[in-house]
Amino acid sequence: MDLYPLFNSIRISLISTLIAFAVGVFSAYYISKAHRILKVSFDVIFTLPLVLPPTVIGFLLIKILGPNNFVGELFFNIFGIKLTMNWWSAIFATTVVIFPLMYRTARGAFQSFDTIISDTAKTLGLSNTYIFWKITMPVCKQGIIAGAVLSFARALGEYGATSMIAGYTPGKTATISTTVYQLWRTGNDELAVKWIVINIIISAVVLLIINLIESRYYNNKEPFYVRLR
Amino acid sequence: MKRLFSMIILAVLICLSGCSKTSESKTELIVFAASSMTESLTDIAQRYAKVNPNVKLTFNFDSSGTLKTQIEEGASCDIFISASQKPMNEFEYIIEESRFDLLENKITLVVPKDNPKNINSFEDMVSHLNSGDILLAIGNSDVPVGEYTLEIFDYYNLDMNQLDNSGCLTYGSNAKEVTTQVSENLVDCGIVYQTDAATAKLTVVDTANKQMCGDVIYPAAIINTTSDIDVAVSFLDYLKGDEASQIFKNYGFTPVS
Amino acid sequence: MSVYVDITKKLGDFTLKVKFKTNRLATALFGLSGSGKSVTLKCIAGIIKPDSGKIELNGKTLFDSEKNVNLPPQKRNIGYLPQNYALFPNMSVKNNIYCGLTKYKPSQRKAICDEYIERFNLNFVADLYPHQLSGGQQQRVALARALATKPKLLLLDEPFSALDAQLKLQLELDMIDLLKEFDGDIIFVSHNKDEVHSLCESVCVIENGVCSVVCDIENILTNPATATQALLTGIENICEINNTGMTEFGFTLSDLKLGEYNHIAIKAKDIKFNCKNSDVTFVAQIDNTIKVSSNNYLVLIVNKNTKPLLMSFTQKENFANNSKITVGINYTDIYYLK
Repeated sequence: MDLYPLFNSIRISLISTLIAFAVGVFSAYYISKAHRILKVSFDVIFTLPLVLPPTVIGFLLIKILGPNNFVGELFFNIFGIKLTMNWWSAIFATTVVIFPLMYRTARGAFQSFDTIISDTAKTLGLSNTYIFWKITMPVCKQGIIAGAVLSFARALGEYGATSMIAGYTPGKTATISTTVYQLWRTGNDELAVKWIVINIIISAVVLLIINLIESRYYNNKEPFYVRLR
Repeated sequence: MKRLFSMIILAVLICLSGCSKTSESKTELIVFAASSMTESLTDIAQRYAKVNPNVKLTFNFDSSGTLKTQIEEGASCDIFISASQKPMNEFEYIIEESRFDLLENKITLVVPKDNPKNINSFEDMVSHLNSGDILLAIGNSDVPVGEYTLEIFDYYNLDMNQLDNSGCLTYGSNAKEVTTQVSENLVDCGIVYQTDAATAKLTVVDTANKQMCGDVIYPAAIINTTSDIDVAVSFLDYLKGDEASQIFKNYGFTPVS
Repeated sequence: MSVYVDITKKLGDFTLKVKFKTNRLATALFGLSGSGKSVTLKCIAGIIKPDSGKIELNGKTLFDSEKNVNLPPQKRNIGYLPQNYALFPNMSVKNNIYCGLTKYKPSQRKAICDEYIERFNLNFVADLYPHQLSGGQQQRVALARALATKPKLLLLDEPFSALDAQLKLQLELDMIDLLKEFDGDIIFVSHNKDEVHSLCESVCVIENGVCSVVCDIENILTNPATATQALLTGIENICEINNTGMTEFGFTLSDLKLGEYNHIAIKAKDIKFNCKNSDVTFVAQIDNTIKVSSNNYLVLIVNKNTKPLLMSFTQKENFANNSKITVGINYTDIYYLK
């Protein structure tokens, strides 16, 4: 059994999750401190991909990144590389689709962080950078990690936008989801079922991890500061 | 608040009234047809509505393989037009006596604007495939255009396994998807129907002949669960007629009868 | 050694306008909840930016809206203790104290940290996390953390409000001890007059966002001028009075001083029983008898719509609930307040 789709799906999901994590956590941090109007506007924009059908996202991505269109053409003219139909093209699609999950989880975590802690830290002379990495992030980490794992699970299951921007090239752009679809279309139910089982196992493991993280958060002696808030 | 509420109610009522426009006196004819017939049949439907205003035509365009599966899974359907003989063969849902060959199409090799990889014939395509430096979009084996493509590959003695391993092929799930991939310049070339190439205004660099993939014939048949066989027969007759044939020719098909 | 504050800040319904200068080591900001005390403290700490004004610490400008000076909290060298202590939940007691010592060399940091753990009696809990500590221990950690950075000013926001009553007294004494060695200024925020009495020498009374008086506590005790100040003195009976002289307690005053004042206050011990020569006499019903920290009070009401009045009595006199008595008040014992 050719295991390329498994390797490709995991690779794409990991990279997308890392990008969504970095961009999501930082934007969530700065937006949680922003003025109310900015906060609401960004919340809407960044949550949009969650409610848009993946095919809409795929369509928009092709219209932006396709070699005939603005960004894609520019890139092709400068670097001679097409942004579409490669294994890494799927990363664009997947990152956009999972970004809202990461952003909203991080936003919620930062929002419920009692700023009196960081304010007091400032009076002790601690720099804002120190406070972010050594106090805010460790305190918010459980919520943020749960968000990252959820994003990874969602990335693994991405189909619509991925299939549109990366196509299905066996051994090159095939993912678990596009492979299952093609196997079903060509009547290869036996192999399709094998892939489905693999997908279910991976998803179950991921959800189990989320559960463990969350139960540690709730069952462990709740931090004192949480109760006071 | 009250005003907003009543406006919402009004909007909903307008939408609902729009929905119930189908009067009972019209007969509905559901036609499942290959996606390559989208533009031509839509055109024909408009003409037909003038001639037979009491018949409402509803189309479902997709790859012939998908349509066959849908019918097998119980979808309501009166007429089925496939892009190749295979889906129709041994298909227990059709009325055999009603089956006939409606149209002929051609398989063409198309390239995006400016032909970046300079592919000018099927032979060019084959040599590029062998050296592994192009991306070719084809339909998968469930799609008639994909079947014809496989026959062309056979003709040129190409090894499918080797092709798959080389990463030169990308599979679309219907003819329209392949066409779009070429027109968006996502691939270097594609194998599509002549009619789709014309509709999408793609550059055709070569056309397959009978030896390469056989005749590309579109058979039509009435489904045996049809609710009104007379209306179905009447529509199929219309499709064989002069008016419809002219429209099909405009799109690049060749009427068989 | 002094702090000069003159700031305004718009807060929703009211505008905070505070001006005071400390001239003693410990000053209290006293006022009811929502009067703006905590916001004032946060402005001094640099956590909140005032709309306009000036804040100076020992002559150094921390904030000046005209000259566009606004030092970040990191540079103000002020120790701040919020109401719930704000300990870092992901760090042990030791690290909570250690992390603030950034201005010392690494070799010194450990020594200072150990010194403060020792001094604040935190040896046994040094490796525990904040959620494992009692309220009193948390307060000591927060205080140690703040004082270890050797600030010039210490700001304490209602330090005892989060604690049980039993602990309060002990911790007040502890705090007095611990603060003895601190030679900077201290500003205390409290709504509890007993804390103010025991810990501070001067007080700034804030009412509705406005600082009404800054002076030594003695002055207020003898001469309260507003209802809030009266609260500070411990007078038991305070109520509003309208311009016809009708009080919320149910009796009327016809003194000349009416019109300028809208509140009056009377000490419970100044309400006399059955005294014929009082300036004001009236009949009230005994609703209840209560005992508050070894004082006996009768709860008197004139009728069911009036505010209860507290009258002191000694154990010797016997009073029955629901019986009516005549009481008298002298004008000289009434405090007229704004």
